[in-house]
Amino acid sequence: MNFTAQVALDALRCAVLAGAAFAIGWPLGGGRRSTLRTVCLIAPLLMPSLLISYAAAPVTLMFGGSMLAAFYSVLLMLKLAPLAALARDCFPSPLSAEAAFCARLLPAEGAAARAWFAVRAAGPVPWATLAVLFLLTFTDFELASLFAVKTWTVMLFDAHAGGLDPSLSLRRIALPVTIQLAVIVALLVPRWSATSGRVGAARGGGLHFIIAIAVLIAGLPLARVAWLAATGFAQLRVQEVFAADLVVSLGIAAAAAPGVWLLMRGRALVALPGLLGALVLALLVLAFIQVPVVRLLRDTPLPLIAVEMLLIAPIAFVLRELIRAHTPREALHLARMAGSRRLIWDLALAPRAGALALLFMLAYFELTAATILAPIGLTPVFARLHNLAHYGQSAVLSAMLIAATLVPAALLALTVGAARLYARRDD
Amino acid sequence: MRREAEAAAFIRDRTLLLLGLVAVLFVTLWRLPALRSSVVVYCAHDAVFAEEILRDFEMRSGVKVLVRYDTEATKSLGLVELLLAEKDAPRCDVFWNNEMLGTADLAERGVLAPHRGPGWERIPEQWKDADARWTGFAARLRVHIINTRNPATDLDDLSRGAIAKPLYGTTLTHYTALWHLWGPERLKTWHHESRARGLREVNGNGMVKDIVARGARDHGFTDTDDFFDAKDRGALVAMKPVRIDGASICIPNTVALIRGAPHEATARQLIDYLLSAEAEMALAKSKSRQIPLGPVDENQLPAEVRELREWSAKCVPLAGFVKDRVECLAWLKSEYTE
Amino acid sequence: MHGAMTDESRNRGADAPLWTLNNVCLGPSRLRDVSVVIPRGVTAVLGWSGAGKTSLLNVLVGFEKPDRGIFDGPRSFYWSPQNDGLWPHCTAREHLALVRCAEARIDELLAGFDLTERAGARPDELSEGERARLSVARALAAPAKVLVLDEPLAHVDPARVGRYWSVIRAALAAEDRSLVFATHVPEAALAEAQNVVCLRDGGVLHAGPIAEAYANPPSRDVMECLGPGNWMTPEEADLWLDEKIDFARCFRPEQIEIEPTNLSHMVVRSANFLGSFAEAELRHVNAAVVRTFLHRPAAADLQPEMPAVVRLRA
Repeated sequence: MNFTAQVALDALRCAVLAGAAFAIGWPLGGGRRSTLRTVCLIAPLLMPSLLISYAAAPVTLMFGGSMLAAFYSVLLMLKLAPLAALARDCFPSPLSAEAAFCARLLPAEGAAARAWFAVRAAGPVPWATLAVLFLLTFTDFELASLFAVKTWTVMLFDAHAGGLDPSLSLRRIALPVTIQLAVIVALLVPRWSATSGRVGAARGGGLHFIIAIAVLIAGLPLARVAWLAATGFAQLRVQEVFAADLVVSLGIAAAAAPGVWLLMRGRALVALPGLLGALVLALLVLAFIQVPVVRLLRDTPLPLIAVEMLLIAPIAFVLRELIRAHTPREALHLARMAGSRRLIWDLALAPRAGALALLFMLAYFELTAATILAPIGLTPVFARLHNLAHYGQSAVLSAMLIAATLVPAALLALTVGAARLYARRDD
Repeated sequence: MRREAEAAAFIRDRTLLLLGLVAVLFVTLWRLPALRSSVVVYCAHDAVFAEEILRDFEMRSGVKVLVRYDTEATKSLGLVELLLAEKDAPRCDVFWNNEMLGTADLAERGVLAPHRGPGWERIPEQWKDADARWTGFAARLRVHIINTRNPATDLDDLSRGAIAKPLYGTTLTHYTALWHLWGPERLKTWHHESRARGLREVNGNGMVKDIVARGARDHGFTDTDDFFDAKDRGALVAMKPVRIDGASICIPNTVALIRGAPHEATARQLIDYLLSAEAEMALAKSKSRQIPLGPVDENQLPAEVRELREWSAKCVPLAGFVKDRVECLAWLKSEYTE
Repeated sequence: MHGAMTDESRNRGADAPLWTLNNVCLGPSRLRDVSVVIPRGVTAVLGWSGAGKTSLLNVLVGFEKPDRGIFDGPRSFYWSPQNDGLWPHCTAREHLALVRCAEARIDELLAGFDLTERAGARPDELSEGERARLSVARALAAPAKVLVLDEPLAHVDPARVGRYWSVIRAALAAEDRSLVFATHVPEAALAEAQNVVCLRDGGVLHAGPIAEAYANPPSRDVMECLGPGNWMTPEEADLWLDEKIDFARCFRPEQIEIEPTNLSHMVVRSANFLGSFAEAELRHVNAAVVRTFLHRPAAADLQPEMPAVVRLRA
């Protein structure tokens, strides 16, 4: 199959996957909020591909071909499904429960008319969620590569074997980038009604499904790797290099996440380069930083941080827009007038902190650009882990994987928790 | 009023800017001491084995070594891309590749500089560039890894076999050898027929090893280091060298000095160390059981490595296959990416 | 049958009540053992904030299911919820068109509620008052025999409310429709409804014809629910009015007159003009007690320490 056909097939496959992830995740949204629920929704999204494939090795090794591709698709879909639930939690429908009931009282109409009414009334958030799900599945490289599944991203990578001229690189990605752009433009074209909605009465249902997905995508892989790591944690203490790599990755993500958040302010165009994907963008920047004057930058982490920022920019753009549309401005103004840290946290900072945390994790787990652009002496931790993973599972490697996954999550939880505590001690 | 100001400041973007800057500064300063290092190595060999050797060099020489490793996900593509991109102003001093033909290709592209040190002298002709732009050492063999639980395993039954994607690494070398020795047409026919017959293609040699070790496939094409990894973990596996027209495929590591290397003197020192008998012996005794190419004390060699050495006595002369690799890779890219 | 509509409602006669509720409960205290019959015509559900008006209407329309109790009601109704329940993606005109209203009638309703110029606007482009009007207009446009309006015309300028009520009244009359509406404004209930359901703390205080409830409320709470009034026991009537009554009862402000006089056992302590009625605090000199009276018309000439008498109007 040639590249163009593969792109077309992947677009179709990812549309189905995004639709399935949406169909599973969206009904799970809007439930009663709790720490357990939030953790279960976020965990699958942030589970590194390497850890999933590492833990799933016994299964993936047994199957090949279409079975493996199907397994990959199901895992990717389940990994991303909680995103739809989170989107629905964070951005409730502008159609109030009462308005929906009023629609049900309408004189009997065909199912199609009712469905069309529901689609229009739901506003842009479900579409934005679908679009993000599509973009994330369509651009997945790491999990596809680890599962040895043929996708356009893997083909693009293979096309660079032995080197590829940047102009050929760009020509090759023209079609996938156009598809991504089309998805984004399609979102912007319709005249959407107000996106803001009230959080309606929480429905308790769905928690067991959410927990099931979290167990499958995060719990089982973590438990399996933790089991393998049982004897590895002791040796981890002496792995200074690993600790240094971990700090490097944390530092780069800590720079990229707030950086992109500031950069996105009113600059939607910044989101576009990220659509090129990590490989092409990193190779272009790599060529750029060889130019004599710019060359000074290549021994700094700045090119890598810049590329990480660009790569997470499309997600940052979507998050920023959604948060902007859903911030209760009057209430926030009153909170500011009252000088209430607690209210300001609840109304404005908590969603922002959540978005920044998500961007931080995305930058932290990014692999391709990090491998290509990290300055010498700074090895991102997942680059090292990928290297070590070549020889398969071992106790130390398992311990490293667990640590590399949980340390940033724990740090984030502590940071956000401390900020929340500070904000809530509003006496 | 104070509380109001405090609350306002708390949400300003300035806080985020500060956070970002602190992180940038931290990461930059973190590596300042490292910048005072003496030699930079781009290493495509697995970190788990290379690190030990390089640390040993640091201890012996007092020279600080900075290494950039490649990953399974990005193969050696990342390092080759980097070396090509940095050709005019290199940051790297030494390239340690885990195969030979890619390095020879870089030499053809003018990325490498000659170095005729004592290490180069001790390696036999067939494993080094006549112009001393690269030198081979510590080799691995391409082997069939066989699951011994099935005594009826038939290596010709490709429907029960596995192979890594041939675009990269030693599998590409394997294909290049076939390209040269069989000719393009026969290789292409074999490639298509083997897939049609169900030869499972996976991501890397490590995965081939795992698949066979777990019994998902009866046999596969991999390298000796992967075979020994499986064996050391207690897997029921055996190996048999891959032979083309009676010759085995012996793939050395290669080391090369980068043209315009910023730390040329220490780079030469490191290359000589890597090509020394001690380093070859250390790699032979490591879990990867690599075959020394230069003269070493045979008595000190592990028995397994001695056997490998015998198998590698008659091997395919890879050094002359650079052009074949370019042609073969071009064909493979058209197969896989167009 | 628990918390569900019975099949009897499918074949109700012309005189049958609209809704019959028996011991309906919602939540721990939102509705407590509500048993009430809502007849045809116009019924107002009255009560202070938090009394349970919205909860009751939500149950009537089936938006919320009661936890316990039996209720029976019509199938054909339309609803204007408290938060308007407008559809964010539809223009004002589309709201009316979607309920299958004829074009001419749409124009009439838009004009009636002063929305003609806002016909192309979506809810987020309308003011709160406009949204409230549109919500009511949509209910009127619906081909339902019963309308349930929760706090209709809230946020609408008081000066124009009367005009909009006349549109509602005309629409009800034209098609012989019934209306149940919740309000906390007794005047609206008195002006528009024939029946009233007074709620307090999730329970029914009183239900019945509104005129009777206004004139002779059975309790002080019902009296207050329907507007200002003076609740008097026989002893108090004897002391302050020099009248004999057999049981405690209500005297509305329009039944009470306070007149300045030269000689009286009562003196004015304070007097406040409250618009449609006035409030006067009197002290009974002999009994040494103080009491507040609500009376009408508002006499501006009452001054502190002025002797005065309380009279009942004929």
